[in-house]
Amino acid sequence: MRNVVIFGGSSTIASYAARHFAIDGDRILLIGRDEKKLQKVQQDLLLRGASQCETIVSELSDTALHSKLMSRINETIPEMNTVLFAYGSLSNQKEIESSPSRIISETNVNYVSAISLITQAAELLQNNGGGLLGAISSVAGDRGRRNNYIYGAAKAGLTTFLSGLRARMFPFGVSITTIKAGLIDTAMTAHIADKRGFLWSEAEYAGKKVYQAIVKKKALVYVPWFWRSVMLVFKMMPEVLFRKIRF
Amino acid sequence: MKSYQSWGRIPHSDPSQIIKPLGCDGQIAFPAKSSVLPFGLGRSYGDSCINNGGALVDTQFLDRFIALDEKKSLLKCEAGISLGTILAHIIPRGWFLPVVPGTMNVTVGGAIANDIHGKNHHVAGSFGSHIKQFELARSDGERKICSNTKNSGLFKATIAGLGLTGLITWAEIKLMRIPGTMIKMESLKFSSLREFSDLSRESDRDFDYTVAWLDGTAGRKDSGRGILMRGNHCADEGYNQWIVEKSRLNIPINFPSCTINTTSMKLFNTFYYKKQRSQRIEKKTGLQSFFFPLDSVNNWNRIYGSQGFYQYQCIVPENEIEALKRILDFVKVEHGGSPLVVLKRFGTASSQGLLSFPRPGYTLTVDVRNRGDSTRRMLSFLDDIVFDAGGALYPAKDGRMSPEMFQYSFPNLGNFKKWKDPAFSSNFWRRTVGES
Repeated sequence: MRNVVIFGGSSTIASYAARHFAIDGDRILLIGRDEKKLQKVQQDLLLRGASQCETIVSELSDTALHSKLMSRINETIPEMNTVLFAYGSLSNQKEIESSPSRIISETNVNYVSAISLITQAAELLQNNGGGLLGAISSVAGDRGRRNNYIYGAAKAGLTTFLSGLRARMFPFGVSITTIKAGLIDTAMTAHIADKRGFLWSEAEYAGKKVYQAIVKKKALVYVPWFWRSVMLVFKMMPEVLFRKIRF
Repeated sequence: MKSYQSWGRIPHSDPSQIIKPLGCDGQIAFPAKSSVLPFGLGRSYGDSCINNGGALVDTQFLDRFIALDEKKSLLKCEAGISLGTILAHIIPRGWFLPVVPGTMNVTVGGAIANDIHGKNHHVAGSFGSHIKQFELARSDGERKICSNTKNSGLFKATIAGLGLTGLITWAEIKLMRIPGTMIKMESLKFSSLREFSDLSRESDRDFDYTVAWLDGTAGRKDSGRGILMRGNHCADEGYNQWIVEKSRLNIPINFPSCTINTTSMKLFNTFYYKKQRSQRIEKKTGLQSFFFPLDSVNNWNRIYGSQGFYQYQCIVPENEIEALKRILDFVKVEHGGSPLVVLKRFGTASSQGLLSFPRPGYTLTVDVRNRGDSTRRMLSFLDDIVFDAGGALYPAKDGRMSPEMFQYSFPNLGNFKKWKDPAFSSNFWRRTVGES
């Protein structure tokens, strides 16, 4: 039985991934800042088979609260062996790109706070003798696009961080899985009106893929798989051409 | 990404906007300037789930379980959850849904909005009778909790209300205990509607589930031949036998429209009837194969081709069973027959909804490929037969009935209009009632 901790427990992809852990009868701890949303996910998971499901309310972007949070997690689930990082913020870039404070804030949520928690969680797994850690990054990190480079940069940093951490943790039986998500229909992308076309995927599908990647101890997956090829083409474009792209 | 088509794929669905609430709580952003209609899993055959030019509310994210009260056998869940998902989680605990239709891929909201019925109607009535309460979100921002004792007018209008009274956000369903995951069933051949009528009356006494498959391509002398299936839940090895089998087959593309033709229909139906060699077979079968045989083929509606198809479901009073023979003969002569015909005797349980379809009598379901105007003309002739017999048509399957036929089928339509939400509308409503 797994003892699963999900940072961003009420996020759309996380709540779908969590259903698979629940069906397995795992114990699940959900962490997020909205108590009501967490409780809804909690009720759902318990009915889907989770052996236990608890919640902790915490503002994950506040790095000052992190060490207390980790102690609380360790008290609640001392044998934590599975972790999923699934929280983030996707602002409309046009609204924030000229405001350094907002850029910093967005980067803090998506990168700085994440690496602080990921480090502590990975070390906790290491102390517990091993485990599984998955974090949702993004294809946006593969290259900085005009309309999404702030989010993309944070995710690029996260991906690189996870890559190094993966090598560091490998000898200790802690598997670090990077999930690069493409365009997924979730609460985070709710503000995007036009979701036609094959590039958009369902959150339920993404959740299943996240679960599978973590339990199979994959190093890096693209969700859906075809993004690997799409981003390959994207990355190969010479910068003198790329700088002309408006989207 | 997702296309919001109906199951028969006529007419083509073209909403102006999709609204996708993330949960039950909070303001639902109903559009200010256009009409709106809830959309679940798109298993309505006709145009009752289509709102061209207007908005659709996609209930995909309203798919959470909320609470299970084991003592009272009550399950509370969000309305976008599918019956299949509910079954997957309640069967291992020894429960079943009191009414299930022919597919598990319908939402709770859709099941209420069409007041669906199943093979056990003669025992359990329709789905709406097992709903304790639900919450309805209206376009003016109000949330109404509806039950038999609270907002009961709205309760009775929303059951079978085709999604036109508001958006159901969550519902409470009374579950049923079952002894195991098998059905003890019998298949009996019959050679006429008269024989079916006697058999089904007798079967309804001892069996909870009864339904008949009819040969829709039988000639005059074989007309009305078919196989009656009847069954009861039975105890078996244990609840964990229920596994929702992944559909092994998928129809990935539209078949050419000539796939379903007189010859292929005749071949399939004759084979199906002759396959059962003895007059009576007894066996035990799993829940999934007894209740949801078609679910094992994903997207089977594509077999009808890109033109789509109509499903015609009517009911006639018990003493008018000859009207069904006239319908079958007419379809055979005008259309070469139907590839799939299902017949069932409804019980006397009264249905809750103002626009509920189930009532005492025989309900006949006929699939016909869309051949354009000739098909619609033929279906209008069938309407005349049903009208003369004092029967009715089922909106969940309909994409072409006339305003007169709709009014005739549902005498409570006038009363229903009082409860309809002014911002909610559908192609079906505009076609049959004329207002937006």
